[in-house]
Amino acid sequence: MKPTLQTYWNPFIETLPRAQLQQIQIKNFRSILSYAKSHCAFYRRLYSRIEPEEIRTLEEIRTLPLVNKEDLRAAQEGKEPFLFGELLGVSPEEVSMFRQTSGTTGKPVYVPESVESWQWRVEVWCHILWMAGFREIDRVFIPFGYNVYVAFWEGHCAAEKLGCMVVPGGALDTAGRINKLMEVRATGLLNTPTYGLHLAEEAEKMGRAPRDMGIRRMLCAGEPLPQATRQRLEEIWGAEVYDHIGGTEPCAWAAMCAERQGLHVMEPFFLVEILDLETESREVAEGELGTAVVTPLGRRSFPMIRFNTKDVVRKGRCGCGCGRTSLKIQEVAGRADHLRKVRGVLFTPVAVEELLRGEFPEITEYEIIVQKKGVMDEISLRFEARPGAGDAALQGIMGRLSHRLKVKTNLRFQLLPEQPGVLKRYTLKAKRFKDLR
Amino acid sequence: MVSDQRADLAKMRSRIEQLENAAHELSALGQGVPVVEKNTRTILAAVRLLKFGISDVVESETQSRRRAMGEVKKVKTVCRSCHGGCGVIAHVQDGKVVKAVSNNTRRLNEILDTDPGARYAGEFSLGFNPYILSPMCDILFDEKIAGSLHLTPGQAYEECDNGNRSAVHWDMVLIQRPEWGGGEVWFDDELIRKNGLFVPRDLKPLNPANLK
Repeated sequence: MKPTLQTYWNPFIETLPRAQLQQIQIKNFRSILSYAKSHCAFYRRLYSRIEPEEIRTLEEIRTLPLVNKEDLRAAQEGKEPFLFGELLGVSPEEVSMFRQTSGTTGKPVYVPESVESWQWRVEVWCHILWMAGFREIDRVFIPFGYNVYVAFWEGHCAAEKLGCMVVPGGALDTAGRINKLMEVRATGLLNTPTYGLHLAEEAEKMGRAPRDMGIRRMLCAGEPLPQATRQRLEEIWGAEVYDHIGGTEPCAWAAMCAERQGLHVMEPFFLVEILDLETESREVAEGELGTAVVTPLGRRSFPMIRFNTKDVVRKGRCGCGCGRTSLKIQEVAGRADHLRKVRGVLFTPVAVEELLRGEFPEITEYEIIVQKKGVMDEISLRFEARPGAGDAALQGIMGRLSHRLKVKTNLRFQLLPEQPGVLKRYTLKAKRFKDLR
Repeated sequence: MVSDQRADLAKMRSRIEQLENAAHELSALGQGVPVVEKNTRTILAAVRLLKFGISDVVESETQSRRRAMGEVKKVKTVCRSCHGGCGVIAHVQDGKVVKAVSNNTRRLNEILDTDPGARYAGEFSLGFNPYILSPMCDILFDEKIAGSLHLTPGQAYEECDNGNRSAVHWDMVLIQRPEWGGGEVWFDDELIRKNGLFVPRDLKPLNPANLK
């Protein structure tokens, strides 16, 4: 089969003038709001004083309450119908899939999917994969057992729908996966950034250069991907590396196009508001940081209205060199729950990752620990250098590192070099930041 | 891109609707047969995605054009004093009857000019009494005819008030059962009733088969 040359998955909606795009969003918002109010006990209570039909503008939408993850937990725990509680938007016999969140921030939320809602998620992912250049001729390897977690399932089903050859790589160890991806001559990978680095490290140990393995494109999921890490992955794999942002509850709501500068909000499918960090009531201006509040506009099995993702993003402009008219976000700055005050200084672990991946290719793995020492906070960085680095080289790295960390984060780190292989390697979500205070 | 392909898009939209209707019919025919029920569900899920991607675009195109041109909507109704004989054609713009034509246009307009409120709707309703099938010249029955709807220029009643005030309260009934010509009722983007039968699952209990 010839690969499709078309740039856009849906040429009509992706290039639609903004006024029309917004009009469609508001219309679909009203319809999902009214659906949620009439089908979920949770929303019936939340919106008891609100008439969905009266919501006609973005300003009116902004007056509705935000839904937080804790609200979802409270609406599920011990509530009927069993498992999904008051958030279930379809009858229990229509639920065809069980998904759950990873539980990074506490007790997992259970997410029901009906056939219809699942197909909707897969469609969103088709847009994402198409934007990242995945086509019928690609052989896509997914080096994970997907379990109940949603992202790779979506990637799997969407790649299948595009017509890629999908190779699931669960139930294998890393060496087995490297062999498998060479055996099928995979051209595309769906990965977490951490595992992308780990896979390359292991391949090198096996005497294989990742650059020569024929991977042309990689789509990352699951963790923040700072620009420096993305470029590092591109160098190691000799591939185009794409990022996207999303979550189990709202689905993936923004992704990168071929320009690889910032992420496009998947606007026909979501209404995304970027609100100021302090009051969460004002839409931020271009270039400012804000919390992303997301409403998926077509999922009925688990309606989410104004879900506060707690993802901190920098708002960009609308429109892009690729011709898409959707709103862009310039960067993902991390999660609001990872923003901490250490010795009175606002600190986000992403800044450290950015520095290490960008300027210190000698460092292969790291971990940040914050703890109390007396009344003071103490922040330390454990790191592993590439095997074979001598003492002199290590001293050099530590000197530079200490200086750069001070400049970048305004904090003095205690540096703790470790032997190669001591630190834990992560395959799914890395937990490299530990706050022990 | 979109404006160049308006015609193609409109055709696609109508095919999507046909697909949807066919799938609904198929699902009704094969009710209880797993192979039909389950596969139709997959078709309907795909139809919904096409609506998101194609039909929505066509609709927003049409709406933005309509806004630019101030397009007028034509609503055909049947006047209460003649049974199915004389049609009233009401041209409605922004909720106001701006032009009305019938076989007695002069008289019709006299009534609509009684006072300012007489050209705005004060009541709208769907009739579904399964035992009333044809007009009997008593509006309290006629407004409840199975598969009918009525739009009422004039006074709104207080228990379901929209604020419109007038000396007139004139129920204009339109029967949409197939034998009366059929027709569809859409609320925003949801097909509510087709040929006199409710379509959404939660309204189906109001269909005659479930009331008799």
